Amino acid sequence: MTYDLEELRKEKQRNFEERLKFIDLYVEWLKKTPNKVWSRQQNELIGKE
Amino acid sequence: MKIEFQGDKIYLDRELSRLDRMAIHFSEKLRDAGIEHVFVSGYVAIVFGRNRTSEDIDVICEPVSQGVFEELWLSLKEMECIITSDPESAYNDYLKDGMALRFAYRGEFIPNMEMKVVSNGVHREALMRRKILLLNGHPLPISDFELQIAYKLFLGSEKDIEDARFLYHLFRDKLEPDSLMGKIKEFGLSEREAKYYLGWS
Repeated sequence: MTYDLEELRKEKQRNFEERLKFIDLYVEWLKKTPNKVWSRQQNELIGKE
Repeated sequence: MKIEFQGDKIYLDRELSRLDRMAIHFSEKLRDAGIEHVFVSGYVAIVFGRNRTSEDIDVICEPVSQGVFEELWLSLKEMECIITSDPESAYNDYLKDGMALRFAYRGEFIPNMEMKVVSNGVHREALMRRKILLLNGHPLPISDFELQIAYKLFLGSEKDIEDARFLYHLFRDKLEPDSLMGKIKEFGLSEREAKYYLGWS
């Protein structure tokens, strides 16, 4: 099996750019969401004490 | 998100995470020992809601004497150093040489506090220009956002750039654009590339 490394590099860059755009969307959501709500959701990912 | 800025103070109330509890606990111990410190890197984004986890929290401290360090060591009853169990070695072989020590709650390994003493200009500036985050009333000194964003871009991993983008978008209205661009240039980054990664239009 041979991989087209150039194609994979482009895919990697595209994924990264999509994640950056997702961060913008997430921040917009964060700004209009009560602290209690977003912090609870974040804790489900990173662990509540 | 409800967040208040008053001078050098930032007020945030949120459901605390495991990382927050550890940062608050360690900061209290540093403060009790009279050690100036500042939280930097990923935690500065995570505490404001960046949705990623981290195995450690980075804290930079002013240079301390061996006596003051040992006082801190003894006060950390609920935590232990996972690098060495000998406080003398921790101070002389690690801290004094600019190497990091890691402290975790006893019996645990992750998450941990990565403690370093100031060893470069970025550390010095972070300590000098720190802001105080009042997290549910608990004071946590954190790096100012302009420095943090520019330094994250300089570090340049995808995770770092994403942290920078997050902080930039969240605090865009509070940032000083000239200061941020000045720092970006000080780190030798191109204005065009930095703006592209930050989504700065």
